[in-house]
Amino acid sequence: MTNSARSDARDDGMLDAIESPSRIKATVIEPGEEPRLHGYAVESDLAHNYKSSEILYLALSGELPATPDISAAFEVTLVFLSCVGANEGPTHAALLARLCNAPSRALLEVAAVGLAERAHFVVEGLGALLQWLSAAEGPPPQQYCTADPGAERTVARLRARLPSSFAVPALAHPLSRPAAIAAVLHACGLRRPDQLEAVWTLAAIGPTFAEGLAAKPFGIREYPMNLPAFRYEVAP
Amino acid sequence: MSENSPPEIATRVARAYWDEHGFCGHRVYADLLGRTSTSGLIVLALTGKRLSDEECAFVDEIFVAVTFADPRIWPLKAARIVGAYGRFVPAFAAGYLANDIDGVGIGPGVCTAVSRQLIELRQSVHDRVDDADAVDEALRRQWTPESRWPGFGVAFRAEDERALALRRCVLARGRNTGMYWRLFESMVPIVRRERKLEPNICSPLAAILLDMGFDPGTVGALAMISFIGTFLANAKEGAAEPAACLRELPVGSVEYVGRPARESPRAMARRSGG
Repeated sequence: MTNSARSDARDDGMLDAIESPSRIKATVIEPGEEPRLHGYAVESDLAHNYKSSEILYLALSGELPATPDISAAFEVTLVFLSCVGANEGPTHAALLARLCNAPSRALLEVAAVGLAERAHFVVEGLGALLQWLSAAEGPPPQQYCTADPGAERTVARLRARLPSSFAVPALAHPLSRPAAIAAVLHACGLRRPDQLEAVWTLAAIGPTFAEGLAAKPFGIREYPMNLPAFRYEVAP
Repeated sequence: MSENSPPEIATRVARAYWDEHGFCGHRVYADLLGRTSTSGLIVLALTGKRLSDEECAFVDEIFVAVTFADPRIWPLKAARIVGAYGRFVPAFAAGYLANDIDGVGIGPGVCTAVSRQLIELRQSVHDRVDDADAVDEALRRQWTPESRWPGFGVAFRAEDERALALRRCVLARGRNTGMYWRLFESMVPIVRRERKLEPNICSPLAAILLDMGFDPGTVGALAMISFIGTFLANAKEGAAEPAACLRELPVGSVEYVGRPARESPRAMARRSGG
């Protein structure tokens, strides 16, 4: 390596010598007195004609739900994904933040990070299922099937809540709960992992925040410190 | 343990005792206090390995050499923007999250991918890390014409002055004999010739940390933490002196390039009485 690279504008600094645009490029939200989302006026059109779940669908897909069935099915998945119990990581972490007397915004931040990490973990595990859903051939990969009666009941409830005219052929298979929800989202047109991660995260943020906020600040003596227990092992 | 009890989790991090604490296999007061520098404690925390004084001094030099904290740099600016609401910790967290990369990208997170590539290359050439032909051949096998090589490519300037500074530290300490450093040095002229790319800070940093015996995951974590000064300074100043214009720029500073204005189907139906 040589030390030949020096900006002519040394006194101004390296980044001052670089030409860069003067404006931020935005693709989804057009800001202004009346902002637009993917071209639709938020206040005079969307607020008057669409539900918040449809706005989320529009944000993620770039289009409004093409049919009432898609809108209804998407809303059902949001509700099914809404509750992440205190036994699960994101809500447990939010609750711990509150025990530390974290203010509500910090609790929300902890919940959001935890939910986003959980969503990525879940969706990454659904990779082969997403491929199978797109190919629509043969039975689903075995790891996404279950004989667990609890999962069967929850998937049955999911099927029952979907519009009867909304076809999700994958639900004919004994899919696990996350696989069944991913299948419905796929049928709604949300097929990319980043779209699924966003749905998994955003659907649960409200209840996760609320559960964390309900914890008692400084309530550390009421918290089960050994759930789970840790065993300190000194490395050899 | 009842049927529903979760399993115990093994940890090598710590145990709280009454008048002493265990940390990474050491006693905090008896073994570490007064005998461990900040960089030594950070490396111990990340790796479980206790460094010698010379190694600690070298890590200190790495922390300084990578410093590049202009607030216009993208993840640092993310820290400034979040800091503009007045809080240090969210600003610091946002900056680091914006840089949470495990692959090709911008920032120290790239070091994990770089170290994996270096290990793969090393396995291809075995001990012939100084043999330019062997490295060239291995690179051609490993590298398709389309592939990007993380750790090479310098934005806005011909060379990365941090990589040059780090190299001077390596040479001054005689640390240029490690297998990964030599492999990296062998790669530089090949990549320069074939791709017209110079190394950025991530490839020499990864090579150095691999030579210190760290695995790719640890290399990535150490690389991330080595940039801590750049994030701390921006998060601290950004939160302590919040800039209103970072909270909201004029609307005219945004160029909208998305879908043109349109009317929703339900609005059209309403309008036509449908």
